[in-house]
Amino acid sequence: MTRPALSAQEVFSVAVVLLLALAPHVARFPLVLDCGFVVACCWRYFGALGRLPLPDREHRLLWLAKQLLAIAAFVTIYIAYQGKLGRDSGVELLAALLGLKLLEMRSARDYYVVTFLCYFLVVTNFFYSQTIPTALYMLGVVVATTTVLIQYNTPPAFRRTGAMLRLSSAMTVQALPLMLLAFLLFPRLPAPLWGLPEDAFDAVTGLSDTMTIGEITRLGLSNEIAFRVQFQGDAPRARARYWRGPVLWHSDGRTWQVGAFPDRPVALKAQGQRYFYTVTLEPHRKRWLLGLDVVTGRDKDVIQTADYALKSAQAVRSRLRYTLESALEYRMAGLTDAERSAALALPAGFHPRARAMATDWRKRSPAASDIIASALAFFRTEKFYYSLTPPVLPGDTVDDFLFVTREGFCEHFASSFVVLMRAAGIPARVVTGYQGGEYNPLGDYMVVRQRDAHAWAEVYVGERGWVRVDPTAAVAPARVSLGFADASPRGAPRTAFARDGLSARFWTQMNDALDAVTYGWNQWVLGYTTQQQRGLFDALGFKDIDFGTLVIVLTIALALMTVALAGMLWRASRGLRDPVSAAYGTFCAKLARIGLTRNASEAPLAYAARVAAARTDLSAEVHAITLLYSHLRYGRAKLDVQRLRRQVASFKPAKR
Amino acid sequence: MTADAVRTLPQRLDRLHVYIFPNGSGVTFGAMLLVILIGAINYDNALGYLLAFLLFGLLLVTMLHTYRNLTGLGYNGARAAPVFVGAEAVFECHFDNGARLPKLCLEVGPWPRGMGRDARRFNQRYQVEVNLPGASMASAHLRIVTQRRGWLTLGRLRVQSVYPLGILRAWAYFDDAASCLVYPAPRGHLALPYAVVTASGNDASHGLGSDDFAGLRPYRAGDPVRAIAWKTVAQEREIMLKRFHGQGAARIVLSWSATSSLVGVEARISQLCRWVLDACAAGHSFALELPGVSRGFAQGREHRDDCLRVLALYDAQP
Repeated sequence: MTRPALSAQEVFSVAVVLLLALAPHVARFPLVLDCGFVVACCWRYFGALGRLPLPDREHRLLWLAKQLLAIAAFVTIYIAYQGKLGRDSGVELLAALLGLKLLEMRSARDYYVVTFLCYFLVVTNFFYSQTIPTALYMLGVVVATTTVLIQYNTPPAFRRTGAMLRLSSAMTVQALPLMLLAFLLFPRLPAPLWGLPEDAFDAVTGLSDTMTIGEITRLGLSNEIAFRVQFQGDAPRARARYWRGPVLWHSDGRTWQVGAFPDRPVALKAQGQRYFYTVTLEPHRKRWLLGLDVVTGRDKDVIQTADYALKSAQAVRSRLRYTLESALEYRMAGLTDAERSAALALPAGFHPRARAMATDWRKRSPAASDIIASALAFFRTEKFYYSLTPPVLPGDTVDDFLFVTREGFCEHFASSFVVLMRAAGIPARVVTGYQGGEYNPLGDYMVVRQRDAHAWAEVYVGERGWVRVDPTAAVAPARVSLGFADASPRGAPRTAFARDGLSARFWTQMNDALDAVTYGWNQWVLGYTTQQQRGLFDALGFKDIDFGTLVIVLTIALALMTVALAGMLWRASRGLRDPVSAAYGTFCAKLARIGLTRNASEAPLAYAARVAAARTDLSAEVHAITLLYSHLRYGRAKLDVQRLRRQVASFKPAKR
Repeated sequence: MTADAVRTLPQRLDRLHVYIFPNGSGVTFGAMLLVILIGAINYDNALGYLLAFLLFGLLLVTMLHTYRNLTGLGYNGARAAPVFVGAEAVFECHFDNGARLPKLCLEVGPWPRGMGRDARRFNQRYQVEVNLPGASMASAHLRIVTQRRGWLTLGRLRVQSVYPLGILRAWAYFDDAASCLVYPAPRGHLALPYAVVTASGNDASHGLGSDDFAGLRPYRAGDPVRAIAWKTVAQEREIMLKRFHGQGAARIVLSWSATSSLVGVEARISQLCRWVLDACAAGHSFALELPGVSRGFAQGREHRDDCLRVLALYDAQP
């Protein structure tokens, strides 16, 4: 049976779903692609209506134009991305080709391919955002796409949007428990299976050479892996795991930048235990390498800067492995004049209130340790909050944070602290990097994720040299001792416009609830890794479950769930048989078992007569049941169905 | 179900006799699912995982829905009126849906045995769509082009459906002995053998037709039922036949030997068929004589159909 040409309704539906799936990309795409796609949708729709010619065999010129357009789109994207097929260029190329495919969509096969690609477009959105709203929106897109498939397979006379949407929603809801099972049980393989495109995590690249307030917060929402570490021997405790990255010296009031000092021999006196480890760094397209604070021994190709940060000769474009030796107890002394002046510089005209406060501290007690203690006490005693979603600071970032919003992420604390120190005459700098890391017992390595990104301060104190001070720890100690995920929901975020009374309390509660949901989402959905999976099985009493067992458990669980769903569906779709017929059917089945099958054309009474003739011993019962059935079926008297049921149930003809 | 057993009607599809398998687009769907899953693994993308598993769950759920679209379908047999060779035999296949939910996009087609690989093409050529809303009955009209005279047996029917998503195909078979009688093709140029009057033709000169009433005579086997005088039957007298004077009506014997100038059994049968139709159309009373089988003089549609049936099923012995 051949299908007629695609109707305007069918084209319309698939175009709508395509646009829905692409909508979140609109801002990311170049304008010409957005417009081109919409034009393609409209063109195909009016083509289906017969108002516009379509680029097919009958319209050679249009067809040629379409081919040229395809080539143009390909070349434009190729040039724009310099021939690199990455995440952005891949999605744009897919969208461009889909728009063109839409124009030449003719057969059922084309229609299916385009509809399936709607499902695929959903996943492209997840490379950019994995928040709860994104997930819900995309669930909606999946339901809509399924509806399109249902519509295509429903004869036009039976197409009712409400019913089709209901069926599609019902099917999606029925698929949810299966999804959940697979998500929990599917063995997590070590990612990636192969190299990722360079812009795979563009939005969450990792640390950069500069720090603009609000940047690390963005990293805080990402579960992408920054690097993995394998220790030979002991690993330091969580609170001591400061992974040193770029060290920032220069501030223009908003943005911090790395210092440019000549690489000189490092004056370092390390003591205590040494740690040996291998770092596997995910590509981040920068030159920065990460090492445990502070590195005392390294591979030849790892460069150490004057401020003890690590660098590679080239930008890291593929995964990089290097081995390091670190010490946690050390003395970093020696400061050149250039370094000292840089470590004391403050941008002119910025942070007047912070400066005034620091000068005040200094007047009261000029000792460095006292000033540091005052600053930490200030953070601790004043109502500062550690938050993932701090308010935007459009004015003076430091003064506004210190005296107005008092709500920030580690970068706010670190930068403000450094400003206070410099204002009080103590050389200080910001160190960015990561803090923490979770241990993966399966692979016996430690995973450090982008959300572990951190910023802290270093102050230069006379004899002792550079000393690490982490002001975030003063506000949210859990952040440092437990790691990011466990600390994030604790600092109750507060907003500027809810200050007092009931509304403030309500707002706080709302925010707390929202934060808790986000936390759960991060923890259980986005952060569901090998470790969580093992934890789940441990909790259920299955220790050390291996890959093969997991696959078997998954298969069995899916099969059982499908059977359960099938039972539910059969129950719902059972025929319209009334209880009277059902009871009589059981009665006939019982007789059939002893060899007295009712013929299709046999009336109940005739059948009863035949049975009674063959089996005189059953005569009374058979006649009673048949009579009752006839009365229920054809008589006017209101009789009890239960009686028939009971009689049929107790009717047990024996074989002779 | 054994190969040749034709089950009694009505037949209802139970769960054991519905088969299901992904079709072409189902394979494409599976491939896309795999790509999403590999992408999710590679990018360690949690929502990618969720989507891949949701679509996999959807695939399993679709299996149940596609399956359910067929199970419980009732088949109540088929009827087909006789046709001439070359015309389409129209099998009216009756289906019912006793469930609350509709059964949509059922593609019904013949599935002839012994055709091997051609069965699929044959099936696709004659497939028709049936839709059954909840608790309803409907018929599928299978139009099969006839090629040989005789009985055209439906044999086996295949019902398939890809509803609701088009990614899985469920199918099932019904066996039915319903047949269509295929008359020979009316062909041939020989003139109607008017002059032939047989020994029993004492009424020939009267030229009986069906125009004017000419009295009653006792019923003889082979007389057209239409001409029976039912009033006399009701009075429980002898069964009488109404007789009419017809203009131009004649008694004609259509015999096998009269077609001896034609070559081949089929050509002669076709010629006889032509004559039967012409003779009936002209209102003649005619008899049919074939080696081994014959029909006496009579007229009217029933007689014509009877003769056509003889011709359709005539098996010439060499």
